Amino acid sequence: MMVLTLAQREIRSLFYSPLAWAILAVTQFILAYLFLAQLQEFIRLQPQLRVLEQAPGLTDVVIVPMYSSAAFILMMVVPLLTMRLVSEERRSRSLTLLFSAPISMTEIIIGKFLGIVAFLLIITGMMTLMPLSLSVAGSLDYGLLTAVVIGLILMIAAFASVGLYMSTLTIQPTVAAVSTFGILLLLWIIDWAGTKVADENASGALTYLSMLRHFESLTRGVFNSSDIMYYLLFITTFIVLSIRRLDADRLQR
Amino acid sequence: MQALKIRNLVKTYKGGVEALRGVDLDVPAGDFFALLGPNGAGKSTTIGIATSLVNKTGGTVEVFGHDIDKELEAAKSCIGLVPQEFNFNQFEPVIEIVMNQAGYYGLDRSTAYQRAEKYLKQLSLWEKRAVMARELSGGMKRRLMIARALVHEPKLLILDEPTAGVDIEIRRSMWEFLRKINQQGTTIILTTHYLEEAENLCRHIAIINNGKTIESTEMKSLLRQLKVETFLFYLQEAVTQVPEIAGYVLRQLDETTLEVDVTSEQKLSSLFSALGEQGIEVKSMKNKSNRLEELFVSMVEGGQQ
Repeated sequence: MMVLTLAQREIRSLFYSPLAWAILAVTQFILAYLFLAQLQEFIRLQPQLRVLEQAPGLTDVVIVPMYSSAAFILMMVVPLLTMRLVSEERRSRSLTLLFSAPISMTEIIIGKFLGIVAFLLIITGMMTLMPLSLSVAGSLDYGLLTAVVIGLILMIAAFASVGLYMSTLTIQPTVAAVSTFGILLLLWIIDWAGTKVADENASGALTYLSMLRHFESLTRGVFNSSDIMYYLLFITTFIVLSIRRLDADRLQR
Repeated sequence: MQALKIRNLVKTYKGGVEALRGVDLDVPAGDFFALLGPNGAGKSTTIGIATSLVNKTGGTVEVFGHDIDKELEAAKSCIGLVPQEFNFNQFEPVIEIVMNQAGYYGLDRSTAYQRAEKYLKQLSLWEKRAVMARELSGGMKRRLMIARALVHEPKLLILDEPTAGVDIEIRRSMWEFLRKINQQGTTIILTTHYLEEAENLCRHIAIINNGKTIESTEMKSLLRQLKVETFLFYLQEAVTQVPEIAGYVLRQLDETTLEVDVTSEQKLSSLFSALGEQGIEVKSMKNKSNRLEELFVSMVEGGQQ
């Protein structure tokens, strides 16, 4: 209950800031542009696709690339949303208010996490309206669409968990944003480093750590439980780290 | 029932700084209690421990019978804290700040709205409910902090310098408001540097110095400890020399102002009579400094020696 109160407060306070509105508008504009570009490409390719026996459909050509691009765009956007979560509270000293209220550190962190995820779900929801609009004129692969939407939600929730943790470490929101982006980028391209390592075990471990790899299988419509577990473990790890950081902060006083 | 009961409270910060070295405090339920002390004496640390913002090194703290080591959540629920610095999101509307606080204490949105309306109206902030907090004046921000602390209707309200930087008119209206909620049953602990404020409002007082309680008593009995009071007399007509009155030490500050020391055994009425016999009429008078201030300074200086 308290977690939901905190999440509601978080999402409301996000909408009081012009940053959230700007992010919503800019992200939607870029995604709409990408969507229309992919749609244009599909229309151009249609005569060639028609002759193929197992031609890729609307979902493969238009929707999956759009969601892949969206994941990359949101990797840059999420740090801007999460940077203030705790660091701003620390800076404005309102964190002491939460410490003095009958709320546990776990509730504070999970509430903030759910608040930011709710905001990211709004972005995902608005984005998903675009492919759904195609169902009026064409047939969609709803299974693939569901997999890619779930993949994106898990991915951005993982982004948010890193952002939340980095925000607990500093008093400067910009430092939190930059460090979050650095970590996310590293985890995005880490499989590329894996291909350069001779040792198979090390290469496998680096590839497993890559966020992109786990998302890619979902964009192919492969619903692998190990990919889901990867994201859930990832999120849990950073949430637990955030709780412990806040607890340490309180106990040091 | 004690609103706050502190026994042998010790706080040693990392690096060995001893902020508290055995503070004892008893704040009766329903009291208006002043917690005074010079800067760095340990007032904020004591309040910080009682409100769970600072961890104690030793001792016990009970809030309305709830030991903070055993029933922390229950103890926290009893307290409303108004810290010295503004600690709200400046980019949130006033009503949201108050309602969010209510949410932290488990109140649903409709109850939170009713309470926010009640306290914002009482503190003359209802008209500003939709305004962003950063647009409020300093005095309004102070009142917002009080409204926010009261929204869950705590049994114990702790105010840390609530009138710092507030003009005299708003300060007096805040005193009236605090008196009112105290009469309605809320226990109030006040720390302030305005000793006149503490003397006007509080029934009990504790003075902390060097991390220890050096005095904890009723305000009236503390003021009775004052051996000598210094008064300023403003005269009806100018005098050319200092009048001589047996038993009293008078000093002339200017043609129409006299300064006189009066001990607790002496009476002002006999002094007025003696002045009247010499043809000197007193138009008005006042204490040279606040009575509590004189006591406070003597106690703190005594403790340091």
